[in-house]
Amino acid sequence: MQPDDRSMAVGARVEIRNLTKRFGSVVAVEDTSLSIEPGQFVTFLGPSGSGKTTTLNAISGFTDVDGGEILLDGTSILSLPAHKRNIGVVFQHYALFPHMTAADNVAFPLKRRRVPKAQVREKVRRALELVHLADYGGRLPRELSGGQQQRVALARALVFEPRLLLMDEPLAALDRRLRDAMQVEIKRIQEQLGITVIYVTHDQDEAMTMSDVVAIFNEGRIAQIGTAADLYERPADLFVARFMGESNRLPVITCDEGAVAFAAGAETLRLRARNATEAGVRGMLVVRPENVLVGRERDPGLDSSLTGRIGRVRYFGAYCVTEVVLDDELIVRSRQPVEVALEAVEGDRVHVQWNSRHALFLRSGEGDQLSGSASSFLDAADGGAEAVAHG
Amino acid sequence: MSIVQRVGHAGAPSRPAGPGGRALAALFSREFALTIPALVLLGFAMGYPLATIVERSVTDFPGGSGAFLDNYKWFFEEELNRVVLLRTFRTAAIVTLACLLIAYPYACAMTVVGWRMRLVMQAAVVAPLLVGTMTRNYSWVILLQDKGPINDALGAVGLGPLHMIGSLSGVIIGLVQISLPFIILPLYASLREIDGRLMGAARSLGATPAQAFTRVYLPLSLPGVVAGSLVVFVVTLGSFITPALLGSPQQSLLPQLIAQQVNQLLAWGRGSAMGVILLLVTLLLIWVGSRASRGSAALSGGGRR
Ligand SMILES: Nc1ncnc2c1ncn2[C@@H]1O[C@H](COP(=O)(O)OP(=O)(O)OP(=O)(O)O)[C@@H](O)[C@H]1O
Ligand SMILES: [Mg+2]
Repeated sequence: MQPDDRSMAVGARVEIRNLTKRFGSVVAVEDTSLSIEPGQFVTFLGPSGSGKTTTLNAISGFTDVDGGEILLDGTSILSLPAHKRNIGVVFQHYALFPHMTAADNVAFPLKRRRVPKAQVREKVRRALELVHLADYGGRLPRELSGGQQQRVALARALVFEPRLLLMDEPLAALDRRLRDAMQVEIKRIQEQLGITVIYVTHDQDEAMTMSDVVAIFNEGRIAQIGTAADLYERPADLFVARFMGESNRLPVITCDEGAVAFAAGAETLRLRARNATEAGVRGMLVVRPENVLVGRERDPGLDSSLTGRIGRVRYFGAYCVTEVVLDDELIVRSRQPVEVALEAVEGDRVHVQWNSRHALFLRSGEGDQLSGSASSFLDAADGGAEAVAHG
Repeated sequence: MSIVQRVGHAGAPSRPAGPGGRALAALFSREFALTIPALVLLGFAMGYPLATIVERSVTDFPGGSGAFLDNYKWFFEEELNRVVLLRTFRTAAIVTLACLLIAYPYACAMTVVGWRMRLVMQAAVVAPLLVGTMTRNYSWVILLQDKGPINDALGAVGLGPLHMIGSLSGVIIGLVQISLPFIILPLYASLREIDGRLMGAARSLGATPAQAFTRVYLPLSLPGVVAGSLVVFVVTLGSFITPALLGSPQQSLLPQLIAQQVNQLLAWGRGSAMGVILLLVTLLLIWVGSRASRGSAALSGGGRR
């Protein structure tokens, strides 16, 4: 637990290969593969029911799998029962033993491993120190606050020096401020010990600030895996773009390399977009609100522009979000610092504009339902695309 | 059962004081006022007869006259009384243990099965209570006879015959069956409250399934075990019909001895003294049990949710 322990507690390399798990007819995890470097902090992010917990349970041994392989430092662990896997687990619901003091809870994994008494006391002390609860060893769980309970749970999961720590929404039950403090704490401990952590959360900010790598889960599969910047700036598909942060999405159809056609009312506009390759592919043009500027005049520095009326303007203190209603009621949002944001009255006609560097074309997958209006938009653009392409 | 647990909680030292304290006291006294009719009824229905019994035990003597505690002195001087008292406790202990051994796995199973199966299991526990006590006892007389269905079945597989009726073993079998609902229900209520996810946590920390049970589940189930056992023990101590029908006069239990004093010898004073002794011992047990139950309930109370 001290710096000199570092060599002992380096993180494990985790490899998941083609993991599949079904519950009856529900496929909870489908053919998922993932490789985690020693000492990495990996976050599983995804909507409810996307298979995050199931994947974690497969690693910890709480659930058996229907297919695939899980390797820890190159050795398969699937045949090991949960109590022999030596993986630390922290639960959302703490799962502290209510009939034992904090110290006894932390000592529990050591006693199961028949660690000599004197060492148990020393290790428990150091583990509680690590989570800043040195003086709370004698308390029962019900005499501790939620945050303190979760720190005891963390100490208990770390005291036997596992090389991999799994955390399933560990902070979900805490309030915002406590959560922020715990995020810093968990990150500090992970870096101090150098262990590998797999962390599940619903909170995007939490995922972005804590992780080396984020894996986005969708319907039992990993939609994309990468750094927070990768996922935000280069989402692999519409699901990831929608899931990570806010985005404006305009239904478009590609007309040639680097350009898409957008049906704006009666006319069809040609807009530049990254990622558009062959012509005739339906999808969405994705632009983040912070890259959209609203102005009365065209800004010569921005090469893409649409026109619309000012809709709702919302003030958030540090920034404001301006909605611009395009013809046909499509809304584009702009988020800008208050000084930069245009002072506008609802109904004013304005330009919404962005640099095409920030515009990304993403094709619609089979799962992406297009709304009726988007669909008719596309049909209009479809005709227009040819005109634009050949014109 | 739940009464015993309530006793434990009411005594917990965490009554909030301060500004809210007075309002709480007012509420408490209003609630208390609502219990007055019930208390009055209890006072007449139980308090008065009880007082009469206590009074008779120190005033009514077989020879017509005697000293204050003579009936009690007689009880402890008479060899037979001491033997029967001991036998009564031993029987109650055996019945309680047997009930516990059956009830614990049964109640455990009730917490893990689906709701349909749980209903069936619950019905199976409660149904015997709906059949009258006499009916059940006479049924056991038929079942346990030397030439009854049980011995027939044993004979068919080349065993027995076992002499069960008219012996302590018959009494124990009957008492176990009759007492089971009184332990299964409180035990189930207590096991249901144990967070099953704690077992998973224990496994992740290196506990084998057996260790997860003995270190986590079992300690957390103790309040239910104590409460249920206590009820069975007390019910058994006071049971009269079952030992009378299934046992033998040579191996009678204390309630039978009391009945004998009162009904046959018309020694009301002695019978009353025996009743008071049984009552005092029972109260002592409830007190000890509720203290033990409070101790473990306090430990398990916090982490349920
Ligand atoms: N024990 C189970 N029995 C049946 N189905 C299950 C079981 N556990 C999970 N599932 C199903 O498997 C799918 C994945 O569930 P999982 O718990 O892994 O989701 P999750 O990503 O952790 O969701 P959440 O964010 O809500 O915790 C869901 O459709 C869920 O209903
Ligand atoms: Mg989950």
